[in-house]
Amino acid sequence: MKRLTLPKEKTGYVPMGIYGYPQAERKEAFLKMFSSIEEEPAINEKRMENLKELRGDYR
Amino acid sequence: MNQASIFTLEKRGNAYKDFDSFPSDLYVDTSAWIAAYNGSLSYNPVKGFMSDCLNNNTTLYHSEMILSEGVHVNEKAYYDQYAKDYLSQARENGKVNQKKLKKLITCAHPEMFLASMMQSMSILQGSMELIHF
Repeated sequence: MKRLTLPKEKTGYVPMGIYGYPQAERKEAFLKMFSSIEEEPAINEKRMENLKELRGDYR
Repeated sequence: MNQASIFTLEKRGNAYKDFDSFPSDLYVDTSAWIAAYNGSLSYNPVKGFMSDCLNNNTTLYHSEMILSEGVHVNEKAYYDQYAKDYLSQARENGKVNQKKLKKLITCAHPEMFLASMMQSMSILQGSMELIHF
């Protein structure tokens, strides 16, 4: 199996999203993406339940 | 993969505060993403671990499946939550008319699916590159 690598500096390639930031700034960029989420805990619980249902995991 | 370690991330506690080395590659599945959304206002060890990995040159890998799975679990979470408010109105002859219920919810919350979907999708898409191999 070929080793998966991120596309490196090819001509005209611009990394998107957090990979457009230098390594030292990726954590901040990543956490910033979550800052717009405002939700009730009930929604989060529902998500986990739905995921289990989707995967047929009824444990 | 033949040199991979597989481990599950704790959702609670400070399990990773003593980590001093990080994996070069990390495969993140839908459960981890769902857990990362959780408790955005408080400390979230799954989110914290993933973000620390990114600052330490880890590449995150996701399956394409998580896009559709993420949309599904997200949509359904809001739908189920709002459904409670409309169950009585959708009842006919003692049973819930599902079509009517769906219509009541989507009419009352037209922004719902799109807004929540865009939020979670943008987080996923902002952390991934499409790799061809």
